[in-house]
Amino acid sequence: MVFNSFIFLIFLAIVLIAYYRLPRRYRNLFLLLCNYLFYIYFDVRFASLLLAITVIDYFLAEKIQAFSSYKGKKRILIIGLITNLLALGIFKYFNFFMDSFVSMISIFGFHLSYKALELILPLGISFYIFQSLTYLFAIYLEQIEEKYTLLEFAVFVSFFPTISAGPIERASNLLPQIRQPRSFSSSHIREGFILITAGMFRKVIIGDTAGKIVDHVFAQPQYFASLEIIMGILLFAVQIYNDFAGYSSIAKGVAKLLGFEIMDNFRQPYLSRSILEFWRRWHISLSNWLKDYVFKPLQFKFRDYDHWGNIISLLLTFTLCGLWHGARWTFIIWGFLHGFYMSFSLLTANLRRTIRQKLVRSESLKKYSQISITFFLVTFSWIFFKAESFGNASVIFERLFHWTSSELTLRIVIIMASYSLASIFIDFIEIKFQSQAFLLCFSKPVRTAIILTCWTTIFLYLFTYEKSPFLYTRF
Amino acid sequence: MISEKLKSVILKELKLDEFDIRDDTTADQVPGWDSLSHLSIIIAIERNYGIRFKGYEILKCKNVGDLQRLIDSKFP
Repeated sequence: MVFNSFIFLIFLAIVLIAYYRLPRRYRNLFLLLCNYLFYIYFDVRFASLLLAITVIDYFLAEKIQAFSSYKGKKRILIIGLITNLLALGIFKYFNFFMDSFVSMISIFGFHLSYKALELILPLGISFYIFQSLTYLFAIYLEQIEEKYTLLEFAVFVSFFPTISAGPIERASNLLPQIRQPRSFSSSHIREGFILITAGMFRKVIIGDTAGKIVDHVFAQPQYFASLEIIMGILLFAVQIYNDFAGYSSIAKGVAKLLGFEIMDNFRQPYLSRSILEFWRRWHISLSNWLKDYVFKPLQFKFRDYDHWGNIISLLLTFTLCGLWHGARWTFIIWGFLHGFYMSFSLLTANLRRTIRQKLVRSESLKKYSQISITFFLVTFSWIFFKAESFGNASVIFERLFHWTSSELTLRIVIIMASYSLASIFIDFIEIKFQSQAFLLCFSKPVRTAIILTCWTTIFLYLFTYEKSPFLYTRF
Repeated sequence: MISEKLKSVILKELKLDEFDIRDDTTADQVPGWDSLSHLSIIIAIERNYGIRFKGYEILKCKNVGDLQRLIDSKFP
């Protein structure tokens, strides 16, 4: 069941009532049952895969803990990585790698036929496998010293607020909370409800409605003029941010209702002044995971190569980031492009600082030009992220670079302005009040009026329009 | 207790004149200490002390105190 559905709202209400009525000692077991019920509702077939990964990783972690030497620990960690990534690789990437391999060898005149596996991508596999691996890494690096039960670990891996599209939580953050008794708190309920409201507004009102125009433009870009293509790309930037940030806000709110504190996944990323800062503000849980478990080990391994070691590590990490998003060459290009941006930034840091000091005196001009350039670079890369294929992307580029004129109609301006301003407005309010649950800072009558208006609009949209899935649940 | 030698290596790499570095200081608390400058600090420490770290040793360090204890362990 998706978050933006009536069935989920009913499920959540029932879960909450039962959860807080149960004695504390049964809450984790009940939560585990709810996690699997949530998962089975999507697809019962893959619940067994989720269970298998959970049990395997739990016992591998026990083995890692049992070894006193790091050689032994490392051997078991490698077994764990191979097992998890193999599961991910088979379900997500097998057909993609086979297709690419067959295409590559056909260039040399070899022809290979194979039977593509008819595999459906299990829900949340990219998320829960990465989440489960944080436990193996934490045990290996001795960041967790307590012994957790299989029940506690199973609740962690299958945690329903985060299983379908993150945030990818850390074992060291969530497991202690699972172990702690959780009491009913009216402030948690209030804050959780507000986070869900904010998330639903972002997703349903901004993300979904922008998405209808975006899908139209990207489906058949050859029929749109250049300005309309630009509008489509900019709206995609608005759509993907509000869709995913909205989801993350709902996930945080649902977790809060259950008494859990999970991490923020977004911090106003389009106000970043550099690509490095963008990745500290966008999909924070994934970028931190890749930084800690991919980039830092690679960077350390290549440390004798000075700057080039950093560059190789950046390119590999970001290419992997692209691949994580999906089995498509356009995702890989998107990831590699961000690696290139970061590498270029690293190599030219001193030169750019010198140029800025000579040419730009005003701090405001410096700040807004950095934000604009970063936004441009990120939005340019979204073309690859959204395009279904190279063919689709090339049509977009052809429309951009061979200008076809059309009228800058008031309609286009209004569409762009309204979606962008709505998104920027929410970001600025979050910054001003230093919280996604900024409605808590308003007086009760104002807060109630805003919440009622939001939910009325949200329900109207849900009743009227076909539900759009959250973009990141397909990863 | 963080040695003056370690403090000076860190400050020099981050081009800082002064910063109060303690046992429980973490990278995110020190201006300019990000994932890119982190490696240059580690390399500078290896060079200054004439030691070589293993990957998991560095990944295990949670704060500067852990780093100091790791360095001390290389000189039994």
